[in-house]
Amino acid sequence: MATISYWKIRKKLSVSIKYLLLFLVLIFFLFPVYWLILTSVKYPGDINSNPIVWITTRLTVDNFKLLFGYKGAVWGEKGYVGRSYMQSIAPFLINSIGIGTISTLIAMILGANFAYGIVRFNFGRQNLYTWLLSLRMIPPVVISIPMFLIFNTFRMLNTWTSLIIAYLLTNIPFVTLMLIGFFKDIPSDIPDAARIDGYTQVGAFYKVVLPLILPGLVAVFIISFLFNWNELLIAATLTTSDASQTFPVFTANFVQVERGTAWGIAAAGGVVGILPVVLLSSYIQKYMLRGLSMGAIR
Amino acid sequence: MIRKKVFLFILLLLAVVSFLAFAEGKKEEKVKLKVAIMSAHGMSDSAQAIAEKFNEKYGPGITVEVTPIGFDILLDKMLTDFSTHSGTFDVYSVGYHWIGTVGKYLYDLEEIRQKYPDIVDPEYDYEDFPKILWDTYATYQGENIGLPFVDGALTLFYRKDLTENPEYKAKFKEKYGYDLKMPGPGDENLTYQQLYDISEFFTNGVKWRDGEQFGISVPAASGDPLLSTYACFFGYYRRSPEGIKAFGEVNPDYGDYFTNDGRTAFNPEISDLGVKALNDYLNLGKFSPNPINLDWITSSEPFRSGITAMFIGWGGYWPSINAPDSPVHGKIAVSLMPMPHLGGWNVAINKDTKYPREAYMYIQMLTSKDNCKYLFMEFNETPTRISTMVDHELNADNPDLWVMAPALEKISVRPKLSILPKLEHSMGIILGKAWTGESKPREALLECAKEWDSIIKSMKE
Amino acid sequence: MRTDNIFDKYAKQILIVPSLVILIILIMYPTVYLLRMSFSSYDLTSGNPPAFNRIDNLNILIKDKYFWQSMINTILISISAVMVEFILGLSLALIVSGIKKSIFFKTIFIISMMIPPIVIGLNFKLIYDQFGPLNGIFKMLGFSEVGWLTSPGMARISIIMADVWQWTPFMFIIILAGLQSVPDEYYDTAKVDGVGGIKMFLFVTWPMILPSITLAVALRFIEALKLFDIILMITFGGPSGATETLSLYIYRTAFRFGDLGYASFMAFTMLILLSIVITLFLRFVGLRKRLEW
Repeated sequence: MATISYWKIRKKLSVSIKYLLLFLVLIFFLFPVYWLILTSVKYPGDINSNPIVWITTRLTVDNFKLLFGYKGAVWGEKGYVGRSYMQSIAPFLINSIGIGTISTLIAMILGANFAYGIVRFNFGRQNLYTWLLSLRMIPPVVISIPMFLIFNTFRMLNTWTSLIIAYLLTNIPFVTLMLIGFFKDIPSDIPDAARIDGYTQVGAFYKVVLPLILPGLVAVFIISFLFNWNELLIAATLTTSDASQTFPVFTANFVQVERGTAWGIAAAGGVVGILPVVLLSSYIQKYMLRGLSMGAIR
Repeated sequence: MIRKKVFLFILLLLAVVSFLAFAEGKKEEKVKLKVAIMSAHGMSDSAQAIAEKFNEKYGPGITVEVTPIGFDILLDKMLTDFSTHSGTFDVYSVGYHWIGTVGKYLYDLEEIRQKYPDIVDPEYDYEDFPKILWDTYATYQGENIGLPFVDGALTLFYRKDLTENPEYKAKFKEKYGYDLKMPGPGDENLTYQQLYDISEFFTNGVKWRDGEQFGISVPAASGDPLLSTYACFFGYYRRSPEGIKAFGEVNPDYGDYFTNDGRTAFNPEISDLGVKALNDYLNLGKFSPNPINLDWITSSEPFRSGITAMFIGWGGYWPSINAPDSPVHGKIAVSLMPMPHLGGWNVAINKDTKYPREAYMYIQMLTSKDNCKYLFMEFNETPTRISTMVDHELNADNPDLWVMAPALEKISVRPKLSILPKLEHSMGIILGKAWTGESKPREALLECAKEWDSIIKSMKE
Repeated sequence: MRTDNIFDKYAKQILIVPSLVILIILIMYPTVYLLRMSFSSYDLTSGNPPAFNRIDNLNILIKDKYFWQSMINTILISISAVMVEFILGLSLALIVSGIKKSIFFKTIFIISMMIPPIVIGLNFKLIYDQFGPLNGIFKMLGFSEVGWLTSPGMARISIIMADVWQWTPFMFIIILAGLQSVPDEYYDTAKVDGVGGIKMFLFVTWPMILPSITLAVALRFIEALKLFDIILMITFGGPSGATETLSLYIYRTAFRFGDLGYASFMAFTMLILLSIVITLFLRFVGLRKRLEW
């Protein structure tokens, strides 16, 4: 009897330790997010204050208003001089969304054809796969220098087009790699049957195969879009103004506003920046693993 | 069905994109000036305010659009914009220390004045700028390449409620044998020994707040903060009779860090003064929050939140530190560093601009006599004109203004050399080691001097 | 079946050729350009056009101690970050694998992976502040204050921690997937044979999840070698150059020093080194085999 209760206690203990550990891990992962959100709704006087303000009921949305270019009195002070004139984040968000969407869309169209061709006709095999994978892994800094010079010779710096093309270089391999996996999951009887029904090879692909993997297509689109949304280095080198600068460039630029405590507004920008991920995470979570392992794990 | 929808969507998208491209390609009759201004010190506030005035006066024919750009990115953007002749921005705010790097890409303003005499403001008054500002901000290889826009001197901010507290004053006198008094108008500057004493006193000589307290915030983050702040310390010796004897007069292009003939002056093999200055700097750092973390922004924050009693920073920080919601609002004052250091900005015109005339109209308006005063009153923009610096009414209302003029009398300057970014980078790494304790001050200086000499050599080739 | 239609006869070409051609142009043009620049001197501050300079850049590179320092920093930071992520990810996966609600953790963790690194940098800059929340917590728990970004070692650790924060979930999810794919019979058989605890893990679980682990580690390592955004925000390479990575140094040389020729050469060197790593990884990790091609 004694031994049994000893085991029970030990088991209970190990379970509670397990949960305690998990709890600590959760805090470790959630605290930075909490801090970002908290900073974004604090008054400037409460940010970087000493003693630290851990929890506050003195909340404000003025940081967000300023972020979007509001020019009136804020933080309850009329004519507050401690802030710099700044640009609204809106054009940068539009650039980010526009460039990411267009580049990913083009990559989807090219990549889907490519991937299906590869799978259907057993094209290229391992060497092609290796090539695509290594393209996806090229460091952005390596791409940024020649791209900068090339777009300069074509007088295309600081345009959407330049960024869209630059991102294609990583988007096409990514989309192709991902979709190869999806197409391989589809038994070849399906397009074969469609062809007996009178479709051409290409027709069977568009009318029969593609609709089958639609959820996967959407997920690949989102993940690829998010990669572009997060990218800083290439965007920073190819752009100079709000005509084409994306959200990460705005943020990198923004924290340098020296006058006064701009942390609140910067944090508000950060919150805006993580919104797409938060909104889309439940949809992509099933495919995320696949995306990050370049389609190697399904 | 879905395929059709997707197809339609893409078609629509392409249509929109091509429309946008077309719209952009359409020739604009109106002149739209693009102006890039550093986003700190409220400089972009000022540029924007004057831009609005400008647009009211000359719009819609000529309009100005201001883009604020962060300090660390601005030089990169400027350099790539100039060297690729993209002409993205017509007007830039240029830190004077960057003039060596980008000077050859800036418009000679005299040329514009000759070509378009009708736009030259007869009341502009060039004599109103202090000579040192005109020479450093506005001149490059004999050409006038910009108009002085924002003055900057490393200034000593302090808590006057502490330094004027009779109890602390008595304690200080008892401990150090002289009176605790921060120099005001007309007083001698402090010595570094005195600054050290005061910092030590407010760090551990007296308890003046609950929780942590520090005597001073000393910036030493690698890059511009380290380079500029060490110049305060080294310039102190560099410009003393002993320093002039050892290194010769200061060459305005090479600045305080170099001997008259272009060798690195803080080299311990030439003289011990560099080591002395670095030791002063390191010792003062003992009374500061971790100096190696402190750049211009992060060094102002402990002072602003009331943790440090003093702070070495640019005059332009005054409004944010003294903001109504600041814990130290109304408790602060400024004084001169033992040796100030010159910062500051001009506004200059990109040589590739299509609209030199309009650009000159804007920068002339931005830096005019009236607007200098107006911008100081409105945004506390540090003035570049003597008339504003010594204005009695303004001085009566603004306790931070008085330091401007005396600071310029004896001030250390940075090199105006094309390879400054490289110098800044290697100093950050090598002298950073003196701060982290990886190497001794003398070794670090020797290494840094050798590195700098080789960079200078490569520049001359 | 129709076979005379061009969409049938040339289906392979129609599907493959456009993308392949575009991709080849997209990669070849910049690569050739980069290669050409690598053997030129092109200094933006001088205003001169690029000039062929044979292998001068190689000579500069060999003597450039900042380059080698940044290489060491990059490797040091990536290896330690990946190791910590691996250990944390594995332990977490082992703990969570018994819990029914593992999907909850997955969703939370996915968010951290896809947060823009620039925002993570900003956030951790706030957190590592000397008077910031992390030191605040330390002081509340009775520890002394830590200078997170003050010494070379601590600064590297702080950068690693930020990276760990973002990427442990990646390891965790891959390893968890591996764990959950181990059939229960294996464990049952092992139990019957009297194997348990550590031994069970070493002889039953480990061999089964090894492929996922090597894959995860290799992918992570290659990604970590490109570290840039977080460092740009938190330390900008300081203190004393301890956190300057290759990406940052190349970026700085190209766009701040304006020395595009030499920067191209460094970029090219980085490309070659990385290709070697990728090739090794493909060969030894056996990713090809996993794809069953």
